[in-house]
Amino acid sequence: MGADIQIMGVVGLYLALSLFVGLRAGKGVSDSATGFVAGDRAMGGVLMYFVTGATIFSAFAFLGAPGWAWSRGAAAFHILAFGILGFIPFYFIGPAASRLGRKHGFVTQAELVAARLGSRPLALVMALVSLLAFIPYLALQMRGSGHVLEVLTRGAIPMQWGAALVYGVVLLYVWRSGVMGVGWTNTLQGLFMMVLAWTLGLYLPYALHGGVGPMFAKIAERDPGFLTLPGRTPDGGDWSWSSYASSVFVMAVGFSFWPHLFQKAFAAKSERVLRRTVVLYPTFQFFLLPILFIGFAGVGFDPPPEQADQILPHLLLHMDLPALVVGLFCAGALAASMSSGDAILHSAASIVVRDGWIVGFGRSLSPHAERRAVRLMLLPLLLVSYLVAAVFPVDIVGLLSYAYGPVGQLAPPVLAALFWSKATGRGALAGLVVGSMVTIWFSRFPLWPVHAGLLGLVANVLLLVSISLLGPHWGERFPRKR
Amino acid sequence: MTLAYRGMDLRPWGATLAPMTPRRAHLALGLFVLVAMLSLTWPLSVWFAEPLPLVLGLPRGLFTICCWAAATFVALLAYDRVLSKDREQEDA
Repeated sequence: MGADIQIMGVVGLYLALSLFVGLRAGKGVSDSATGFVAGDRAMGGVLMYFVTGATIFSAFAFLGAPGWAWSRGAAAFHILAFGILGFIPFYFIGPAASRLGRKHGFVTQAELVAARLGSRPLALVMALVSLLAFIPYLALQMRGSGHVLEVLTRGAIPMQWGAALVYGVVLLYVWRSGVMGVGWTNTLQGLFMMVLAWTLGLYLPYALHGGVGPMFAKIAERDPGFLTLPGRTPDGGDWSWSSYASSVFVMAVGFSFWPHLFQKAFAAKSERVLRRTVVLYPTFQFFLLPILFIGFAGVGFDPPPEQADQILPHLLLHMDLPALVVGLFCAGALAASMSSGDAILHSAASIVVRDGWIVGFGRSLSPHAERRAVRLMLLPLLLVSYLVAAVFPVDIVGLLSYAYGPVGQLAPPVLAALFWSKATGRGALAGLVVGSMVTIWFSRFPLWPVHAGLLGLVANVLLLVSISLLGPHWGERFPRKR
Repeated sequence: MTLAYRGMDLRPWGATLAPMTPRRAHLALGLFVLVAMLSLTWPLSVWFAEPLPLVLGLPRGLFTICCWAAATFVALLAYDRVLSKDREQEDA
């Protein structure tokens, strides 16, 4: 019981610090939608680096990734592979979107695309696709945070209560400070996660196997196939190369087009800041490397955890570590969950209001009213995600991989809107709808051993190009600045 | 520095890289991304896929992926430098 109190003490301190930083971050930001959603377009280099890095590395980093390494071996390498190239398109689309955002007042991805292609329904469909990916993703973050608290306090804090506590804090600082709250807490959380990941990633292999090299040598000696690419399936069979390759490809394509990540193009202080962020981004992959070490350290550990996602908390609980260390890990896992959850929640609320209500349905709101509407939308979105998290059991990386399928479908319309003058709203809309449906259908009923998002992308691009070539072409078409 | 010797242009290795035009930089980055994507998604060689012998204590597949991460950072840095200089010249 004393250990549980110490763990809760560390977690409580971390949550209080996050809340303090998050609440203070909103000072000096204008009382408008641009202030709340895009931080008055004044985000600097450090903030952008951590926002983009910490936003992407979520609960899956501390729970899902070690779980994959422990249960599926080399298959987990793909988590590292897709992030290396995934952000490169942002070097080109980020500055272009930023320029258009300043000129025309855009703060969301769908708003830009719909304005360029002259199609209101497109904004609605893009918002819907974003929410289709966001709700399960946010639920996953909540479940991850609640799960960690439940396991490490040995059930003293049930999953539902833990998730409610953590996301109560997130709601407070996102409500108060908007994107700047997300940015500054992500910086704190990103630094914390980096230190913790490397500490645990080196300590656990050392404590259990005598080091990283001896750990891999031991695994390779016992089961060489476990470390051979493309790794294993969840039931222990061989994962196919086509599944591995298509997963990396689809996730790399979808990476830059996550709406909450794309929106940061509108928040950046300058185009130079955006380009620098992309250049530095591959270095963030080295934060994921020790995360995989943690999972591999658990191979052969007795007793094994009940679920693969539990491997890290399971190891910590069974190694008789000081409660302070366990508490720090717990706080790190919460940081991973919160750093994605806050950005997704904030982005989802702005998408519903700006893309759905204002662009999609053509209603107008004053900047102040829009800011209030975005704040109010935080509540139902959080509630729906909480219910999904509480009711549906989910495999963390599996769900992430699913979510990348629909998000990848946003890539063709965004690229076409920015760089292809013959693209039309009809073409983009048809491609997006059919591509998303194909992705969802083949995720549910797989026909070939490839990521369903790849099939969706093929259908999407074919329709976008063929229907766009039929015309009519709208040309440059942007609304006045709000 | 360019030295003319018996009609040959003997420039240091570094100098041949210096005048890289934005067009060449685009081409080089495109080629780099293509090769990296192929390597990261498909087994270009058995060396990439097999785990042993370990390299710096890592399975070869994981080591290769880490090398690509480092190489991508360097490639983007170089690309950004070339384009930044070009933008500065345009602004001037």
